[in-house]
Amino acid sequence: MISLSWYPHGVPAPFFCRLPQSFTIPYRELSPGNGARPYLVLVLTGPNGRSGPVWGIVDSGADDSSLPFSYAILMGYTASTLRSEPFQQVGGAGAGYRATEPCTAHLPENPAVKVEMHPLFVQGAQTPLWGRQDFMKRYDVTFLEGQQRFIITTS
Amino acid sequence: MTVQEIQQDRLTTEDLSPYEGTWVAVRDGKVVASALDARELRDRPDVHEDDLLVLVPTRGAGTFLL
Repeated sequence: MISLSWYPHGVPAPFFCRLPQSFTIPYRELSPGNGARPYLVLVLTGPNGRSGPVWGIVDSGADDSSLPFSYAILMGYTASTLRSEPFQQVGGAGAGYRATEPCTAHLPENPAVKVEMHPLFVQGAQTPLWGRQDFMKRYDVTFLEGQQRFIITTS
Repeated sequence: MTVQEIQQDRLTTEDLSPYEGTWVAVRDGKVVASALDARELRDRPDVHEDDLLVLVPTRGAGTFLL
């Protein structure tokens, strides 16, 4: 199989030989003693052009990625680029704010693969979630619970 | 296909419980600033553009049902 290792870090391979790339990440604790979970750092870039790293949990139960509402402000979303949208969660129903303009997310170690997102911003939410219909469309995810790690592979 | 190990470091090296419910800026695993509001934190001069800005969950040690 062709190896892509001769491409310098961060330099995308030509499309004709771009093969799936896999990354393995250990479950980690937000702070010591909190319990290890599949946290993943993605770099988000908002409509305002500002970027920053964000910790989120890879969540196969989330249809789309969602973020605590304050991230909307940091990313430059306003009333004109958000619309109210209901959602369902374990604790019941609620209302969030769906981005009508996309933001992008990328793995810091693989900036060539951009994930376009229209995240749901939720008042009262405390943890970013990387969901199925955006993040997992670009990355297949395998949870290895026994090993306390997960693997993501470009799809 | 090779599998690359990434993001092996701890997210933080310190206990975040004193910051529950607030926003913190994390650099190299350490809290460098905190504030009640995300924008206030981002605009502080001692916070860098590439610092992680995190809302510290309350009761972070409990079971997560997301």
